[in-house]
Amino acid sequence: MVTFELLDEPDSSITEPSTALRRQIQHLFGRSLHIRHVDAGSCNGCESEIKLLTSPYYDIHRLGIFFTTTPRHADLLLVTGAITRAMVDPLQRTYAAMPEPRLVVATGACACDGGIFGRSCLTLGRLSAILPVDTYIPGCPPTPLALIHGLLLTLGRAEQRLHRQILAHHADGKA
Amino acid sequence: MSILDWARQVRLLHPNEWEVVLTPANLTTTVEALCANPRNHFTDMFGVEMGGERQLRLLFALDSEHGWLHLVVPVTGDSPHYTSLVEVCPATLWYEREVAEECGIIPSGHPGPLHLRLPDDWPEGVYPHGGGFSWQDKIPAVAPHPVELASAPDGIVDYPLGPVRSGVVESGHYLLRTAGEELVDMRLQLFYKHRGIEKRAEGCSLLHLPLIAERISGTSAFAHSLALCEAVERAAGIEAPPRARYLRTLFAELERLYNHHGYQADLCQATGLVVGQAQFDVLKERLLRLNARLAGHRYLFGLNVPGGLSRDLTDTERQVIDEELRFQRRTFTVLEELLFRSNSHIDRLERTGTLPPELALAWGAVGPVGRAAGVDRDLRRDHPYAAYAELDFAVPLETDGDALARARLRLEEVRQSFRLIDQILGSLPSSAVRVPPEACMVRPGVSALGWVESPRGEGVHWLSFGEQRQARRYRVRTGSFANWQTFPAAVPGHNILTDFPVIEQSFGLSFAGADR
Repeated sequence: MVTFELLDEPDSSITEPSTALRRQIQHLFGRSLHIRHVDAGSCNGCESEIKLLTSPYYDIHRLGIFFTTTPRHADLLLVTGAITRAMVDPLQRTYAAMPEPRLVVATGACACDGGIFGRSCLTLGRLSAILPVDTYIPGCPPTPLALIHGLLLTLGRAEQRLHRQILAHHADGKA
Repeated sequence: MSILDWARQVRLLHPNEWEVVLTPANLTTTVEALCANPRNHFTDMFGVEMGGERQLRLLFALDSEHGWLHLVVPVTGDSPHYTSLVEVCPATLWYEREVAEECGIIPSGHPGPLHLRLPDDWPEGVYPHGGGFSWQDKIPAVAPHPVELASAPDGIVDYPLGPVRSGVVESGHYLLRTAGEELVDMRLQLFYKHRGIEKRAEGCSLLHLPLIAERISGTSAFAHSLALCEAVERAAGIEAPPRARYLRTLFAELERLYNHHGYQADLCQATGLVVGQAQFDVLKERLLRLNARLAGHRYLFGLNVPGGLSRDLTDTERQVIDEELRFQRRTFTVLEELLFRSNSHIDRLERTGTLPPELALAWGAVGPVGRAAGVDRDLRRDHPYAAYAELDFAVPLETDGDALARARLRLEEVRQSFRLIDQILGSLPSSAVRVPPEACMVRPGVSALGWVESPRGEGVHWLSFGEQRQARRYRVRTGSFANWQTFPAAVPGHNILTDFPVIEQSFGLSFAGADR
């Protein structure tokens, strides 16, 4: 069995980059983004939809977004599933192997907040418990169009679409 | 003890569902007697804890006339033992490990380790299905105790693959042993994705149970929720209305279609046939969009409810299916011909990853994997559920057991699904699609079985109820779990390292379904 040293540990104190830094990162990845996907305990629904992103109907390559096999070539970590105990270590190692700056996207209800599993004896229930998350793509599973929107949103190439009333609600601090 | 002896103690639980209570001492002879008849098939084995009492339960599928047989073995003591059944029934290997780990019922003389599904940092002696804690309780992590494998002998190279592997795939670990180019052996480490579905279901109401069943394997969501709902309906002694039974068959076949298209797309990807992959992905995507239009969900979540379906099919929607099916048929016929003319594809499949028929039978291969290796079993025909008994279809069978046989078999199943859907659209009875929820009453202590031929093989659900119509124990045996056990047998022998993706895709197994 091959083992390797962890390159570095995720630093929990740095979770939110400043707006200016975020813009810089987005600019850097703007038209060329490489994604490493990790399944941390999904039902395979999310993978089925993610796989279809490269099919003729969606063809995500035309947007300059590609899937890569190794985390060392990846700019973005796309995580699905309710974060099972056995996947915590592989997930952290994958993240540690990625060059900085790196983005993390929680995909599907399970990775966002645990879905029907939540925090249980076998699942951590949310990705943000172990990694700093940049974007949440909800849905069970999120449709390919929702995935594309979420990825473009992460890159600053799409606007967050919220109902005006909800925006006002948040602006008033009632959230 | 002969079959006749225990046949007198058999109790009928529900139509086609029998139960016999045994002692650990006469379990082996009974299983041996059952396995001696090739018409009986070992299906499942699990442990149950109820009110401080532990039971070892085995499930056998008998012939069409008799249905299913539960063997119930009550056990007592702190660490109850029984004689391992692996010698008389090799298919029980993983099941015995699961029972030992999750219920604390130990098989004496079991070859190999007893650890199977729980994570490495799980404390010993904490049994998820041995009672004493709920799914929400935090189980503290202990120092990991991974299974140590003997290092490879000289000239053999270990090639670890996973759990994070190339491409958008599920998590699982393979240890491939190679001598030069040739694959000589492999070890399988699944269960990275074990989410504790069965534990999660404990205490859930009838409203929530289908939600859990749908997430066992998202791409077989309808099949699994159907098995669950059938189990609930049997427990309540009701039957879904005729229209619901036909519509369930319709949706189950639509699910089989998109899965089989996705399967061919993945197989084309493995052999590098990009055009084939794209074309089958188009067919799959169109069916998912059809699902979304009919059910409001691309993977048919939320459609099955105990007692029927949550929505009906309108006449317009019926026409939409008809039109889409015409397109699918036309395109599929062309694609199939092109596929068989692509030597680069066919040559990679022929004699690759052969699962010998005698092993397939002994290790309990089910579904398309089993049928491609001569195991002539299909629950839709042998133990009909929903409306399959009233419809006409053939069960294709191949005997080569190689990747090509598995691919060809699924192509033929697609054609049979087209046939089934045509018949359903032409003979859809008119009735309600759901019995009123208040009719779905289950008594405390009642249990029942639900089964389904999912796109990846037999799914068998066993559900037992406690107070207030809540699940007390939920047990799921998926087709993928049964077939993963046979998978390592197909790897050694005339396969090279680069064949591995082809072998893996040709089985078309789900990790989520096996890990649960």
